[in-house]
Amino acid sequence: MKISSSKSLLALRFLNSEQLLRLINSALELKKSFTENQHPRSLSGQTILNLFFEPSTRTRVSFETAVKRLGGSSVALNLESSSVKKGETLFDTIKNLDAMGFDGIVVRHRHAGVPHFVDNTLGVPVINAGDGFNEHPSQGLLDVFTMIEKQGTVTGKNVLILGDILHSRVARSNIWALKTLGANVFVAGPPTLIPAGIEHMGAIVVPDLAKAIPHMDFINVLRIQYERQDLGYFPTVREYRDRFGLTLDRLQHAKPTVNILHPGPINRGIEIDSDVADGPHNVILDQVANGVIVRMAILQQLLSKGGTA
Amino acid sequence: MTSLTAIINGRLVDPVTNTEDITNIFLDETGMVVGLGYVPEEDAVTSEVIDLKGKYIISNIIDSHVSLREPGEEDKETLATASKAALSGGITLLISTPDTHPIIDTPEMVSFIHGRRKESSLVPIYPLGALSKNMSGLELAELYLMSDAGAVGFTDGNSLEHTGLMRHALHYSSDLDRPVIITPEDPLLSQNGVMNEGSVSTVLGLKGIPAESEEVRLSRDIKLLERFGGFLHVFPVTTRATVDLIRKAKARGLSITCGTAPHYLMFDESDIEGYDPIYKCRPPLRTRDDIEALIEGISDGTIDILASHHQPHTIDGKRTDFVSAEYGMSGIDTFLPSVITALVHRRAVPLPLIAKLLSTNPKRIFRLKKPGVAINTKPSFTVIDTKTEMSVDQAGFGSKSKLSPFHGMGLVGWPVMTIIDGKILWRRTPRFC
Repeated sequence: MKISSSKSLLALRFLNSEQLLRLINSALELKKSFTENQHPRSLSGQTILNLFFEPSTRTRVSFETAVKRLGGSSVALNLESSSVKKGETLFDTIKNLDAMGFDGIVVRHRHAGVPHFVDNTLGVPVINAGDGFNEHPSQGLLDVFTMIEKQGTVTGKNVLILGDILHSRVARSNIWALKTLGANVFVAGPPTLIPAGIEHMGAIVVPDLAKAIPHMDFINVLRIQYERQDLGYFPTVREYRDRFGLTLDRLQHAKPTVNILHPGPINRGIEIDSDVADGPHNVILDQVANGVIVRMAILQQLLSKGGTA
Repeated sequence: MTSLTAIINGRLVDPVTNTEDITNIFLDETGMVVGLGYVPEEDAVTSEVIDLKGKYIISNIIDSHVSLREPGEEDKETLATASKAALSGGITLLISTPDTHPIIDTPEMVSFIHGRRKESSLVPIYPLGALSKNMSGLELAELYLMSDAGAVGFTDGNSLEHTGLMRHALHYSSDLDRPVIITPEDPLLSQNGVMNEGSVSTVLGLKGIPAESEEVRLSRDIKLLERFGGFLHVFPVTTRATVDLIRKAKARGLSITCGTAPHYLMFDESDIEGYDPIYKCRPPLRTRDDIEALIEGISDGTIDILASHHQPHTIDGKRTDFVSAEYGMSGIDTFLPSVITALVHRRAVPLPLIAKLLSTNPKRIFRLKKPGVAINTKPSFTVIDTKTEMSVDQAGFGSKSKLSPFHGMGLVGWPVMTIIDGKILWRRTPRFC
């Protein structure tokens, strides 16, 4: 099976800086034309399938909005993995849907590698909207896009990714894109949630959060999933917040220019306190707004007639 | 006057004398060896002369860990199709695992397999019995009665979760001289892992199975073996620390043997990069360093045997994403050439050691009374071409399961003729001689 594909966006890992910047620059142009209400209708006549095997609100609506703004239409299909289990194989599900003639498929699944399987099995462009702990490329791109928008560049900047790195596809997509674009990437969290060999991806594990924060230009706070507690990765939410929660107190010694990102949905009072999430450093809603723009750029590049992937 | 088949000029690989001497074998019509020597006998009336110049002969090649799916999952494999794969794969005896539906956990089920084998397979198949009833890990199965019925060892796959029952399994069977076979894994440490834990699993976002999962469970079982006796056979071993644990246990004189499978010698975790489910197996493919440790274990005798770990599936088992896919691969058809390619071709392991790993050691571990090539016996042996490279085409497998990580790879060490009980049952076409 192929690990990268020219017709699809499966991962940021295999994009070089030129390819990343092309997408980001096209998003910048779209944002400009969008504010002037002159954005292209380049998906006119095309239908995109949003195939979500895992629940999602933000990402699905964001893709749907992006498709609509580009003049296309989308069909959303929410297939919880459990209901799929009862019946047909994944192969049959996607072959059947493909037979209906969609122009592109946005897919999310709790298993890493599903978009690769879909891409390999079908001829249409596939956009990975999150696969297991592997990647969430559109989120990674919108994070980088927001960072560039706020501070001009990510090259040479220090970015801290804070929280559950082990189970985070957002962390992986961030690390790949940021490293490719020349940022310094740091990760912090309970040792149980830092995956083996993360340094091979170019990230530096921060041993002391308090000492690291003053050097950071961006802090990307990851959502803590309660269900992980069952497996004993950390004892209680209270203890997690005490050690790794982004509180106003922890931000005291941060750079005045620091930007706080969060992929959402936020657990207020757990991984991030409300006064930080709503505070002057936060760019969380900018991320959501930019998400639509970046997804428009991705869709346009993969799907618009005459567009190049 | 009897008419003889003269099989001449082949090099008989003898692991006992460590030789590969040219040996001429004369078989009568019943398959009995009536002449054996370095010079063809002048007065023999031969119906056929088969010249094996440049080819090697290994007797009693055994694939001692294959899942054959019959009864219960005949869409994946049957004794008949496995037998076909074995013949054209140069394997003259199979040992099957009890993980069928129903499970082979009674002497009646063992007899059933022997009966089905006689009806449908030209290749001898010896079953392993389950270690516990219904492989549930709750009560021991009837080990002595199954042994009397022809089971050659016992396994539940993994060792028993219940440490006390595992103690009893080893202790109870300590005067039976049949191996308890385990694939050690601590499931609570593996959790929902699907591949080796390390930088590759981190990059791919796949949940990892740490090497320690194998090592922790095996350490426990070695302790039990040391205290309570029994005979432990570990298959497949995949990590450096596991090989080392067994090396040390052997040095202390414990009754422990082990083996590994060719895919653990040929592939490593990095092959999973493209999420191709063909590489999904359990235990998982490990690291290059683990491969080196396995080779060292083979060279110094810590690893006693090799077996294919054949786990047949239909296409649906692998035509899905990596996490959803089934574990295991089709292995009988490629067993011999994959072993010879991995060890003889790439690592210059001598053929007598290969004969030990594939023949004399499994014979000893499973107490199989099969004669070598000797006067007045009806031997089973395989003629092997160690030079010609051929590309693996899974479509041509004898096995029903055409799902192999070796597909498309060039391998050397292909069988050209398979003789069972003195009868030539398979020859490669077009004929080499």
